[in-house]
Amino acid sequence: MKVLLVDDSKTMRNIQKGILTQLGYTQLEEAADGLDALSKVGAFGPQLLLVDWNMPNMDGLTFVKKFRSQGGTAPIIMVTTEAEKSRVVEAIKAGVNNYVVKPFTPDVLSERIKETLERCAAA
Amino acid sequence: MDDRCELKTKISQDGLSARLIVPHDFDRSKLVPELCDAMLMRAGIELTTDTKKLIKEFIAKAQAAPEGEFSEVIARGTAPSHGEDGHIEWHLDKLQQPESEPLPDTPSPDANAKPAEEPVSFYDRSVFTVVKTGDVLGTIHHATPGQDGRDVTGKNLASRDGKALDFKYDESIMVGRGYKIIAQADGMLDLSGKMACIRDTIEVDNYVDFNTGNIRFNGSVVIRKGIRDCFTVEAEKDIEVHGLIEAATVIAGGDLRALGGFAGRNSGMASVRGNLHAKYLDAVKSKVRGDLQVDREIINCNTMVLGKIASPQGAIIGGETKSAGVIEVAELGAEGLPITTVQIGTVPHLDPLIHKLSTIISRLVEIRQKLVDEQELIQKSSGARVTNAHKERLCELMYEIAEVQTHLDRAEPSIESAKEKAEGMRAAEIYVGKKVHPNTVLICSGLRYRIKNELRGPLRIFLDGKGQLQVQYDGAPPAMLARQAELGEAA
Repeated sequence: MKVLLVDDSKTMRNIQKGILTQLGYTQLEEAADGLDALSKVGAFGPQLLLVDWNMPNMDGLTFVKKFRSQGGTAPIIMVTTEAEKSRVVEAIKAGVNNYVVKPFTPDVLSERIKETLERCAAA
Repeated sequence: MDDRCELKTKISQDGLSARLIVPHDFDRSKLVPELCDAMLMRAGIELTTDTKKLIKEFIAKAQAAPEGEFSEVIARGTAPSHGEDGHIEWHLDKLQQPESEPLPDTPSPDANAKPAEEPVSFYDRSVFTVVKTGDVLGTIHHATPGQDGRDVTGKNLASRDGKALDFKYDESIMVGRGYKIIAQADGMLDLSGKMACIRDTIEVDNYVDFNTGNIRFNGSVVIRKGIRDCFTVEAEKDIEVHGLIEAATVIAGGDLRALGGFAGRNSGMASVRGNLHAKYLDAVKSKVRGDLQVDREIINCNTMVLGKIASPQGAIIGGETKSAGVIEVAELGAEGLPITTVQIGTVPHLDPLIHKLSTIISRLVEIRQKLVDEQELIQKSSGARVTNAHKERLCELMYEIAEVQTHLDRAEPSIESAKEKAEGMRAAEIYVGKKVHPNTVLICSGLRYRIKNELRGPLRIFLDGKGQLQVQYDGAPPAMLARQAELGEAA
């Protein structure tokens, strides 16, 4: 499965990469912000996206809106420090399928990925 | 009728063709098939359908031909087809190294020949075919039967059947489907005897030199003479050299027996996984995982031994010797020669590793502490209100600490295991039968002992419980070696 990791922190991307590799995902692509991600989705064709909220150039929420408006249907998990309910609702309205609040453990991220993929497959 | 006006026939010497000849004065209007048939029959030539067809063509051509003698082949026989001898098509080019070429100083038969583009190593040209189990060595082509021929008179021309192949092989070789010859063992393919086989030992009757090339083998190697300068002999099992080893490289997966000595001239190298037994070692760099036994002396060598060094009749003179196990020699050092350095109680392959691991662990502990401090600082300073940036950093810190801890969890048991192993091998003990010469340097536990005056044997030098070397003469109580040596810190 192709997974696109969108986060301005290389450390966070490495963390996510480590967890995903352990889960058996090997086709991974990285983007440093929303703009970078938009330029990569066409060629890479991700089947799952992990997107940070706060990023320079283009934040995660704007990216999600643009991605969906361009017809992108792949499931998106928002990886964020924004745990407020109103913010979460805003993200879901924009087209996010699930979210993980930082700091998270590998088990939580792994659980969210499985949960999201199962939910999207059933839909 | 004039003889010159009569049709003639001529059979070739091998009997495989016959010509009909129309003489110059022959009246060609009388040339009819019946006449030709009669001539051929008179000559004993078989009248086959083909021959009759050729006669008709012959008559037409003869009548159309200009005046003069006319002749053409009107009967053909069939040559016998001999069978092919049974033979083996070897597929060794993919298995063996290139065959040996003329020696470098041998003049080339073609002086104008262009030099090869790739540089050629004459040392690497081996004459031995090393095979592995399952390798397809060749294909057997069995003898084929011959097919008889027939001459123009109908006489049988006997053919010869191909000679049957006489290929004998032992159980190390199998002939499989499609008559493929398949190796059933790892080793050297030997086709020199009456029976083809794969041997687990290469035996070299002469020197290892340009005639043999370097030897790299998955079995054992026995060399009846020596190994010349710059050649390499590498075997996964034992190596036995009856003659002198010169400035060569010898790598043994098992034991090395250098029965004629090893004169390395500072370029010779031995790496031995098992034990090394040598007549003598001179200016050789060696690493021995097992024990080292030397009949005479170890002179100006760089020697590293994980087992014991036994040379009860010999001496260690010059060079640097490191041993994890007990050393037993007649003499240490020599007068007027370069300093002899002997390091004891060190496990040459493990001690540097332990030191390196120890440095890594200290560094990891330091990094982990810094990360933990930063984590605590953020948690304390932000109190109840943690900013998004802090949350992100806390997340990063959590993983960075976990990653460092993973490395520590791997490194700590490794260093413990290495230390345990090293302690099991470590023996700081030297037995000297005759004497220790002045200027001999002993290194142990970070201390350097330069012997001031000759020590007469038999004596024993050993490490006491306080990390100091003691010397004990036959029957006498031990004394501090430092009293008879200049003491310093080892580099």
